[in-house]
Amino acid sequence: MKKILVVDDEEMIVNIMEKFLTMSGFGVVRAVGGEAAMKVLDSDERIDLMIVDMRMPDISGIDVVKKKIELKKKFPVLFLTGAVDAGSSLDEIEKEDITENDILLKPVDLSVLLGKIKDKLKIS
Amino acid sequence: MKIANRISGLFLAISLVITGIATFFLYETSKAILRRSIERGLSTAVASRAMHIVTYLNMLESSVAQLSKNAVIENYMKISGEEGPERDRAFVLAMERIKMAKDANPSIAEYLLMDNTGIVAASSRPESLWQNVSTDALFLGAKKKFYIKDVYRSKTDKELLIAVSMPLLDSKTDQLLGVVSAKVRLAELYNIVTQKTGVGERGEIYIINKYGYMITPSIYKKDVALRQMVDTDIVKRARLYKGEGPIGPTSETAMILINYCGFEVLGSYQCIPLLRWIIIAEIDIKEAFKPLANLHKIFLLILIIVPVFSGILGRYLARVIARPIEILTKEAEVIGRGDFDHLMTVKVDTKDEVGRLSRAFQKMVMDLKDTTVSRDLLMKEMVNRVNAQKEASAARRDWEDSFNAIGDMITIHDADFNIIRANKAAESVLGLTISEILKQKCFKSYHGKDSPPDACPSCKVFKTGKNAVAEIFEPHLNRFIEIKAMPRLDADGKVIGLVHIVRDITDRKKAEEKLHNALKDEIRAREIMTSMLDDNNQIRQELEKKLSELKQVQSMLVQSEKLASLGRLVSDMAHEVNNPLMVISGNAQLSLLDGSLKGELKNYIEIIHSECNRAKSIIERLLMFSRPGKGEQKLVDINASIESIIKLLDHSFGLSNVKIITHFTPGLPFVLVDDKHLQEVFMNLLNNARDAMPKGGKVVISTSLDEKRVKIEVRDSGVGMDEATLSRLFEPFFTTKEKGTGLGLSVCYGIIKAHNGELKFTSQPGKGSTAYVFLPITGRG
Repeated sequence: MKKILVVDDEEMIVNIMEKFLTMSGFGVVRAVGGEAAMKVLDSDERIDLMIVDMRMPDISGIDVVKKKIELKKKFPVLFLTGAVDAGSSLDEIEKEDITENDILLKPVDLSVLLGKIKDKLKIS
Repeated sequence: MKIANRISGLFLAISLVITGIATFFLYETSKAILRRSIERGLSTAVASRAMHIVTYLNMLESSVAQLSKNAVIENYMKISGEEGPERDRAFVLAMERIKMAKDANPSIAEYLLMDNTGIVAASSRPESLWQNVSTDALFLGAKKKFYIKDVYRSKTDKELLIAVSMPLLDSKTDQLLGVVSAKVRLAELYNIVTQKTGVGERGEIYIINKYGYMITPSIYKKDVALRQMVDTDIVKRARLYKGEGPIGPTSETAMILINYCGFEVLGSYQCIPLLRWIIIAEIDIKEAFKPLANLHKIFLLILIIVPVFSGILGRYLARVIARPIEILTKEAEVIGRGDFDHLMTVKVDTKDEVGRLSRAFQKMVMDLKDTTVSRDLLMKEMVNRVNAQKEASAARRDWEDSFNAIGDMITIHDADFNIIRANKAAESVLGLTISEILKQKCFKSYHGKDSPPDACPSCKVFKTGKNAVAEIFEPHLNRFIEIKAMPRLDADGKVIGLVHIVRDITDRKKAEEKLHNALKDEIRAREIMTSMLDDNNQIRQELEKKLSELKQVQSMLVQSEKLASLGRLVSDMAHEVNNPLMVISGNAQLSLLDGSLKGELKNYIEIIHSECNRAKSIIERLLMFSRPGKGEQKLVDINASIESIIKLLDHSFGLSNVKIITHFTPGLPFVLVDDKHLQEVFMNLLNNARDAMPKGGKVVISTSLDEKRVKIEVRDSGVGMDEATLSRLFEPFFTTKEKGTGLGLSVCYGIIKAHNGELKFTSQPGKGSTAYVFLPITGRG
């Protein structure tokens, strides 16, 4: 079973994601906020994909991805965000891992999200 | 180690070795000679004794043989067994004959005659008569031939005897008549043998019989005859001999052995095959080599004295050689410290090699002194030169620094237009390195030409020999330049080249031009003022126009600031709204996925979901204004891009009675843009233009190059806008249309901004509006 790390500072959104992903047959690791996500990344927990919010009050989603790159963890990332911040440091991680296609705007259509996830995990 | 010690040590060692070897050989040679002479003595001794014994035995044989052939004896023996007077007469005659023979040879102990039955028929000793000796070897051994009975002890008087016997044959019939025998006391032989000549005090000569027993007396032991068995090495050696003849050979060299008494002797032997006896002469080895003991002492003395003397001699020689060297060494040390004035205290003035060395050394010192003085002078001179060189290079550096510090390009040329020196400014303006510049002619570097240009100031200098100045626009450098050329003259005043100073006067020229234009404006203004002094209105109008332009710029600044903060607001708002929207939409979607909803309720939830999506699309449009993203950027021909939009819109515009006219400047540079976004911009602009002309009209789209930007103008002949509208044009949700969202121009603004471009409008109510889009030719959007 593929395990997906869901990172959002809005607990209700994490709940929705957990419910939907579990229904779709994925394992879910919850992280409410950037700090919690950092802890999961530091642990040995196996993660196959991460869905992460961009703007979070403690640690930004971009910093979480930077940490993932720094730890040399290879799993793919999808951003799920209210808006792409003007002047954010997205450029820094862009070439490494993320393209504009990996950024989904809230509210996302769950079927679209599922398609993206399957695409990233290379499952049909 | 000092040379003296080394030499004397060497002498000592060599002499020790030589003397040692010499002494050893001398000693060994003496020993060998001595031994050979002793050996010769021993051999001679044994040989002569053996000869004596053999001769004595021969004598015995001949005497017995005489008796055996005597007619009286023969006659008696023929009739000895009979009785009668004739026989008695014969007996008396035979006895007389035997007595005669005994008397003639006193060394013989007894002559006796035996008949053929072994009875003693006659004897020089009457006691022996009529005894039966038929079993005696004396009788038995001689029945057929001459026989010698080896040493035996007499039964009567215990004396040692040897006996020889011979058969007595009938002279006519050769019939055995009896045996003639002679007994000899061994003591007779002793006289021959034991004379102690050539064997020293402790040596002896003795005989061993065929059974290995000594038959002569010993000087060491008593009563050894036939009792002392001798089985020493020399006896063993002699036994190996199996020769014939009266005397066997002596061993070729005498041998050293342990004798029967147990001490070391040098011995020699001689065999007598007739008797199978061995005569042995032995000499005590200590006694034999006694003369060597003295020699030993003498050699030891030599061994001590010779090395001592040679050591002393070596020491003396070493001192003779080393002393002058020591003196020279000390002198060299003094001079080595640099004291060349030190005079040699002891002159070594001999005519040998050392003397020559000394003189050469003195000469070397003198030379060295001279050389050192020269060297010091040379050093001083070198220091001076180095200082001068330093000063020169400092001066040169100063000069070069100054040369390079000059902002004008300065090059120095020779008479053939070759640049032989250039400063930093020249390097940077010409865009060439110094070494590249120095390879080129001046007209190539400055003008990019292969020959001097017209009005070349350098040519003038070469012609006139005077300074020349020119101001030109140099297309090769894309600059206005002022060229000053000054001749460089040699001592005869001939021009050998020139100094070429080029000043970049582009800025000055531009300033001059501006000044010129300003002057022109001023003149014109004055003209206007003078010619239209009465027409105050016009002047006021001009002023008002200027003022309004200024206001417009100001309001644009305010507007752009306002739009930026609006952008941030939109972004923040999108964030804040999208999260709850996600919660709503998510829950709605989960509810729908659950599958238990039916009928109306399902419909309600579906409406929530779709409305969420509508809200989302509005927010997405808004975000296009704040941060449209970069999309897919590629190089786009702007004319073709606009052309394709016109094709899309042409038909619907025609229905609205709006005509699209294009004025494209061909061959414009491509711009790096996201074509999709850009087309949205032009679509919006064209739609707005059409909406501004409800009664129809024309839209003119023109493209052109404006400095480093592509300029696109969209001019309509519509209703136009007032100032208030213009100032809020890009605000999100601001619209003048009944059905507008108010996001169209906001998105356009966002897109053009994201491409580092500029979007602005000019408009006058009733006179139409013009939109200007500027896009940079190079650089990423």
